[in-house]
Amino acid sequence: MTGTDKGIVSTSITRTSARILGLLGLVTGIYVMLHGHLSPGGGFPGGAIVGSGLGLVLLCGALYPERESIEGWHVVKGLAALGLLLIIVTAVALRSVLLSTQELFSVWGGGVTLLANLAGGLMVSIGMLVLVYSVVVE
Amino acid sequence: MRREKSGTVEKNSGKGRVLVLLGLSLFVFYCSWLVVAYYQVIDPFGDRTASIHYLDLGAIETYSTNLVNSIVWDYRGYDTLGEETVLFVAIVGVALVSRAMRENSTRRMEVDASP
Repeated sequence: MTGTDKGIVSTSITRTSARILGLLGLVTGIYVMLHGHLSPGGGFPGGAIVGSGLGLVLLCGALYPERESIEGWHVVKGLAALGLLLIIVTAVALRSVLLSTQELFSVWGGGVTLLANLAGGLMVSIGMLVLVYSVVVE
Repeated sequence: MRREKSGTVEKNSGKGRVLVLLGLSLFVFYCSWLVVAYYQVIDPFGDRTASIHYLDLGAIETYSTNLVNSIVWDYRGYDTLGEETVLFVAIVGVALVSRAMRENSTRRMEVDASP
């Protein structure tokens, strides 16, 4: 099946490579988000990598999301932003709770930083995805 | 009648001007009091207390050995929250505009196709 529809270029070549590259982007972005407190990276770059990988999948026609699922993405994005707000407002209390279980130089370190990285990365990635969908696909 | 009305208006505006001046002077007094209190409580500008604190205690306080990340997401969390808010509002705006454009174009297509 080949065809161009509303900015989507869908051939078997683009679909196959988008599956591979989108998965790579997903894994790399989640790695960057999870290791934000240890290595260069964090919520913004990790979220941008995940969002661009998923956007590539969307653009190459490997997935055809319904419009209702985009509404669901908006809800998830808002929940992630709300979670980030809660994490940052309660940072002081959260830090003292988390620090007893954590150790330096491990992935489960970071405390508030790790949680805020994850929430911010989720928000940024879904935001990038919604941006690609609304600019290119619609 | 008209003169009376304008007279009352002028009288009111004069009273209002006095009130505004009073409020402004109170505001200036409050701000100068804040500046004096700030200089009494906070270390003077150019003092490196914050940077030394980050260097000494950053890793131990946040358990995030990447100090850049600990400063961006923990010490300056509200700043980052504001950045995220800007991004969020921008994305919502783009989604709303594109949705409105799409609904406009579909309505036009329906109007074209209806007769």
